[in-house]
Amino acid sequence: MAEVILKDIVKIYPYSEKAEKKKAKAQGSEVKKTNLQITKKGVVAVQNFNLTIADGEFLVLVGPSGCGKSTTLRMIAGLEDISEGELYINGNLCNAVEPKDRDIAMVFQSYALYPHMTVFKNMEYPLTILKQRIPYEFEIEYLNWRNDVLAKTREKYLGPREPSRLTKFIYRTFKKGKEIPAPKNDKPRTVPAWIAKEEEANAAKIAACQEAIKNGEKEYVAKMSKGMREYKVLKTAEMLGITEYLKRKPKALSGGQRQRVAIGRAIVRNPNVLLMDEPLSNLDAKLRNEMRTEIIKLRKKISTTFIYVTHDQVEAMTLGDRIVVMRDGFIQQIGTPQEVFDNPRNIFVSSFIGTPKMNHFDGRLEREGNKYYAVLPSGYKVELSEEKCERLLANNIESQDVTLGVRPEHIRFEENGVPGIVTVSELMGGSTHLHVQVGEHDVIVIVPNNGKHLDYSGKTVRLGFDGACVHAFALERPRKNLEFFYEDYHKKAEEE
Amino acid sequence: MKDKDQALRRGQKEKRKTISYAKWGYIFLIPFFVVYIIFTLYPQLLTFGFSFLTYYRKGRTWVGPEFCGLQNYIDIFTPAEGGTILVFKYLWNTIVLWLICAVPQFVVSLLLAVIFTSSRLKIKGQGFFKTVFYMPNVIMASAFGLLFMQLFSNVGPINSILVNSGMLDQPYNFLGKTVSMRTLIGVINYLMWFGNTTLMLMAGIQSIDDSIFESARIDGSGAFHTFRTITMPLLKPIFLYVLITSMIGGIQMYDVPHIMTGGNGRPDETSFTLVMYLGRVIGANNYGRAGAISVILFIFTAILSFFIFRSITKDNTD
Amino acid sequence: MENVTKTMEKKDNGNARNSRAKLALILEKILVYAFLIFNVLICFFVFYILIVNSTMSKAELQGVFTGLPSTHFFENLESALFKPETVNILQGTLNSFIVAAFTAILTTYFSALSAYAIHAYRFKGRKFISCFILAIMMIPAQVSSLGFIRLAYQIGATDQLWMLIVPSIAAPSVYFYMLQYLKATLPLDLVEASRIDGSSEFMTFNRVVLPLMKPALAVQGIFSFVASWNNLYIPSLLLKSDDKKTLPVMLATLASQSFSKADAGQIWMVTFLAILPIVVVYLLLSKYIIKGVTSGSVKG
Repeated sequence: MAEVILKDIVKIYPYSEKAEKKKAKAQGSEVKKTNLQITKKGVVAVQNFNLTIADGEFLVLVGPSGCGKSTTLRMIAGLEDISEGELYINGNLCNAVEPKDRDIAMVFQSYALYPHMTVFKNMEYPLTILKQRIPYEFEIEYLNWRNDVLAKTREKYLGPREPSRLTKFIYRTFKKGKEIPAPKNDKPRTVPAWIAKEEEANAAKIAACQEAIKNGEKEYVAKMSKGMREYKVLKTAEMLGITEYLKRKPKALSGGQRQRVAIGRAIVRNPNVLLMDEPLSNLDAKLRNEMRTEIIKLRKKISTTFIYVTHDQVEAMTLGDRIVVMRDGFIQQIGTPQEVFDNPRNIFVSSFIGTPKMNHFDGRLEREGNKYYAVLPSGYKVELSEEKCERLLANNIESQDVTLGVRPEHIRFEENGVPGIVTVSELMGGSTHLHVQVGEHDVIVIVPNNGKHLDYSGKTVRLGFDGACVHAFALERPRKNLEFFYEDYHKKAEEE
Repeated sequence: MKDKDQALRRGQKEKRKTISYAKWGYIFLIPFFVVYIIFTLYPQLLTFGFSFLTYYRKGRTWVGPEFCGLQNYIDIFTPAEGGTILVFKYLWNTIVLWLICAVPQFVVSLLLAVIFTSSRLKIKGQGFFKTVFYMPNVIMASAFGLLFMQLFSNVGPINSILVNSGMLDQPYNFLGKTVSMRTLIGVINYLMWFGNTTLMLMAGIQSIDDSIFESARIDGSGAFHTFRTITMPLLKPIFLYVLITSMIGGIQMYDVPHIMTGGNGRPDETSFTLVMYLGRVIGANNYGRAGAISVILFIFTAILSFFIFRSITKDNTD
Repeated sequence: MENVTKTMEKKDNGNARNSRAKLALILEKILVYAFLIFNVLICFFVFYILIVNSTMSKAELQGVFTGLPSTHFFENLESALFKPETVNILQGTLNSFIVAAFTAILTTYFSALSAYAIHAYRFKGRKFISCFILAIMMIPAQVSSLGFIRLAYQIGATDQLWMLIVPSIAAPSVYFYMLQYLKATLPLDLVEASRIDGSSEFMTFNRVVLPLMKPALAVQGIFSFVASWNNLYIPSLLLKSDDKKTLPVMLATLASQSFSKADAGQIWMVTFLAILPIVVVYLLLSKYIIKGVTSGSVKG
């Protein structure tokens, strides 16, 4: 587990317009339009990125494609250079540190499994190269397991002889159907000496470990031995439910199984930070839901800092302790899923998070003394809740034209509400989604129907909302939520 | 009744339509097969047939054609004066010449392919290098041969440099000594093919997903370790393909040694390849013997081609 | 506060490690570039000598080697081009060009046609024929060379250029390339749409399919042109008279004669002129050629 701090991170890719035009011409396509800033130095893919990720936290970077989330993840991993700013992992400045020395592991979108190695070898690979932190408790576990294996081997030697592999092969290929005869060797069997020797050695090692634990030491750093690697891989495979695939090669596995192997390979090293780059994007919808719950379960089993990148806001909301919404290289908002859902800081976040999208329509924020009202062009007026009024007061917000936002879940039928005609009535099972034409706007309303499917099409309804559920967004860029108008996401993040 | 008739007629018409399109498949293949049968199949059958005949030109008259069974084959495998079985000697020459070219070629090409595809090194100007390295492939072997003959002749520039700079007292007889002649032939073949091999191996490395290399990097694998455990194993199929193709080309080696040795594999026939042997026998109008040599050449090539065929079809089923 | 000092220390370590790693990388890069340039020099050295020696007279060539060009370029050029007694380079170039150009055109067109036949039509024996052509691909031309020459005698086509051109209509390796290309890029709906529009099968091929295959035709056209231009074995067996020989055969004849007959400078010049057209073509089209080398063979 480790704390990760990103300070003023900036990533600039060198950019030359001529080169881009040449490339586009060669491929026969047009130059891609990007909303990213293009400065003299190049394209700014990420800027003003400030974030402190706590130990053991599950943090999700979410945003539309091209927003810089994968770039940020790769910078944390060390696969991309950091143009400006500082990255601290576990208190160490890691800008120039090689990925392998950062004690991180990564799950790629394409899984990146080594196609020529079995699942077992894939998962073993990281353990064969670098030294690992081996807790003494783990070593004791391993030695006990090893002793079990030895005991089983000893039993094999005490039992009857087995026919040799050669004999088995001959009988299997040439004399199918005939029973394999027992070996004729009658000599008494002895248990080989090495078993006892190893058991002794293991006992000594166990004692040494227990001593070390008594002295307060927790772990030591060394390259894992073959047996220990095998044990670790088996344990990890068990945890992920892929034990039966250990002998197969990646191409013989389905998408979900490959994904588990990729995760297995990443966690087999007990990394401080586990990075995941859109791991569920390549799966179909049903698998995605399954694997989502698997990841939540996994999180309970191992205690690592997770940094997860996705473009799917549902994944972000269900998996993250905190989510970071990004767009065009900038952080839009950092907060818990509930916070981001309840109090979006700007209009982009409000429409990105939540399905169906939040309804936005023109309106006006009226200030009367210390109270604020949301006013619609039709005259409908709602007093905002106390909390909201407090925040607006603190920011000294005056009356102004705004874009109002209300989530479909929060709109309800009101007798004196704004009238509208239902254009589409979608029966969603336990609820009905109504598309209502109100003035120029198409508003979506979610109506719980208790299993009674009513078709509202063509009906006129009157809609309203509560003062605690409406948000006011400024008309000028960057279209912030007026309640948090003077808040600087970037500074606030650092203070957290 | 009328409906049934109509339907029947329609059915017949439709059936005719599908058959008629299929016939175009046959029609379009006619040129290929006509030319193939006349200019390739017939000669192949002739060659095969000749191998069983005694049929050669003696002075102004023809001896044969007379059926002689496997006599031609036996003749080829009979040792000549001195005890060497000529066809084995020539096969050995061919193999040696191929090895001199292939070993450095594959080592250097592999190295170059890794260098060009390394994201760490980021070599610039790859287009330039690739163009230069591939260029010798389009130069005709005759030109190379002539060039090298002049370069390395006793009065040529290389000897001129060596003698005038004092490194040697006398010009070195490059073209007259076995080792140097074979090396020169190998060098020419190397120059002509290493560009091609590099490009193929590069394509092979590039077909490996980038994220695999990144994953290895995160796992701590250094450059050499990645090469050994990941690049080479994944490159194996293409490497084998290029290797066997090179072998097949090697067995057919003719152009360069023919030019360099004036057609007779001097010195001492140590650079006389199998196809040169075949060419000489054809030129001497000994059809029977030539047929047998052709068949033997075919058998060698078929064995190697079989391995390529297997590797291609194995890939297809993966 | 403690954390800050710790991070400060670590920062220095990071920098030191960073600069050491950077230095190692720079050294590595220098080595690599040196190796690459060394290879380039080897490739160039040969041609440099060729060009330089083409500018020298026979007398100069027998003297000391200096490595610097001389002034006899045009003399040699003249004697190479206009003294056909020793070697008729113009005729040779013309012959080579005729053979190579027609070969390229015929082989690409008919291979495309054959590949289209297999790809677009379903008929009995289709799979067998396809496998059969693949199998033929494995048999090298030298194996049938004896019979080929014999055939040439029988139909009186020895020493005829067209005998080299016509067989290129049946080229299994080019066919294979075209077939792979078609499989990857030609949707059969296009053919059906064309049929509905009323075009005959032949017109469909010429007007719809061929234009779509331009990249493949270009690549194989270049390769077969170059291969034909450089081909030595079969032409040397087939062409006997001086006015029919292609360039490689001429150079081979030149090599086997003793050198004193021909002016040495002339020989260098002849070699130079023989490869010049191909080198020019190559340099102009190098991008496509290099792309084409790997396009047909590697499965991604």
